[in-house]
Amino acid sequence: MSKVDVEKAHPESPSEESERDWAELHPDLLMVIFRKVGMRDVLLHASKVCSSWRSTARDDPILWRRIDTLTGIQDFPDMSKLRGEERKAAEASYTRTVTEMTKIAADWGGNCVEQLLIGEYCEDDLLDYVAERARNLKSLSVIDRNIFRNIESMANALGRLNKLEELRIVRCKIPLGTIMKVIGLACPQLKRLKFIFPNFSGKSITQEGISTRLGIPNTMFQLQYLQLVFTRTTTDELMKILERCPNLEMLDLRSSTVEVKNDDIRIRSSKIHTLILPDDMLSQARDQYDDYYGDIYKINPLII
Amino acid sequence: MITLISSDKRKFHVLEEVANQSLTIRDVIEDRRGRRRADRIILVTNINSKIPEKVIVYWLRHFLMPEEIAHASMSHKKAEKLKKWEAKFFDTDIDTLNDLILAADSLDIPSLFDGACEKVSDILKNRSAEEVGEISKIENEFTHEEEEEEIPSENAWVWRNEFA
Repeated sequence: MSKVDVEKAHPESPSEESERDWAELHPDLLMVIFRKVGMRDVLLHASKVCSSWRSTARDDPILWRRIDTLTGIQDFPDMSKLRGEERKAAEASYTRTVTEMTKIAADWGGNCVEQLLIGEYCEDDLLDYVAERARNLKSLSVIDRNIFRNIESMANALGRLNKLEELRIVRCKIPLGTIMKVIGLACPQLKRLKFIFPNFSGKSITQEGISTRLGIPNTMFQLQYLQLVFTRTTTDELMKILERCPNLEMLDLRSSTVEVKNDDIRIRSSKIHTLILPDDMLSQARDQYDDYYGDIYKINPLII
Repeated sequence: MITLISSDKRKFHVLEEVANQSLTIRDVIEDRRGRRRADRIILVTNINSKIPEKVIVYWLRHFLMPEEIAHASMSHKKAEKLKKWEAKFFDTDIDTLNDLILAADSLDIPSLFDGACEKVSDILKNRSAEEVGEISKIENEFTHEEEEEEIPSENAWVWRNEFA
């Protein structure tokens, strides 16, 4: 960015009729504006204004460091108000556009993409597509229950993301136990792991019987934060998990079904400094609803 | 007192303390401290002539409460007032905003830069490429390859008002 050229400037220099050309706005300045505008408007509109705006959007991968498929969600129809065919059509259209947009963002961002938040309504192959391109992804949040359709696709996508530090999963068709095993194998470098499996919509969990219980992951030496909100597990299984996560600093068992005492956990994992037990929040369960979801619906600002 | 001279040779006399809000000017003044009076004339030739006026208005408004802004200790009422004032200040055509951004960038006035960028992004939000092109008078001159590039179009979206 240019500074005022104080020394060279000369009062006698002919004053040019200043041509205001938006297309020539310095790319750095345009970037600042694009960042404020957000992914949806940049992709759908700004990138189509002119060639130089397109290249700013396309050739500056930093712009796509954080991809959030939920941006602009308030502009979409309220799906819950629609019924039948109408709703299907709306969902299909929404899903297609969000998927396409995210794919382009991943294309343009490439290795600069560090955070990805996949909201509801995305096509199945989206994560695969992003994982193929965004090899430096550090944080992944998945809210759509269809994204991890089966174990292979999950292992495949996660296995490629070997820089991943944070994984947050809300709702999933795969039983929690299986997920834990896959994650233990595919992402041993994970530092923060958060599950939110609300029982009111996570039918697969209750139907799967014994296999819904938490599996025992491989040793995850890096794991510091573990949140198992709304999950079903037993004390034994939890203890085994703690054994495999020797460096755990924070454990959040809010509203999970496990029966466990503070001391049991403290003895097992001496490094834990923050511990939230299942009952801790029960009395304010309603108020906490936002808390469960609030942070998952936005990209974690702490990870840079 | 220092003097700013714009590209069309208009002179603007500003208190040093006020102009100091531009980090670029502050550095220049610091560099030339103790030198002749003529050195207190600063040329801002790469800035459109209407802009110094606006910048100075902005400076003056902010100069009245620098301590409070710095320490975030502004009273609620005052903050509201300033916010209203800024909204009015930035409520201008997109060309002026463009010039303000360029000026704020080259003069290094962070708050003005942020404010102008914010306003422009507000204008761009929820506007189609055609609308933006019209407002900003940018010609759509894509190469053939760029035209081919598949970017989802708005048609694929279902808008709230279609179902309202």
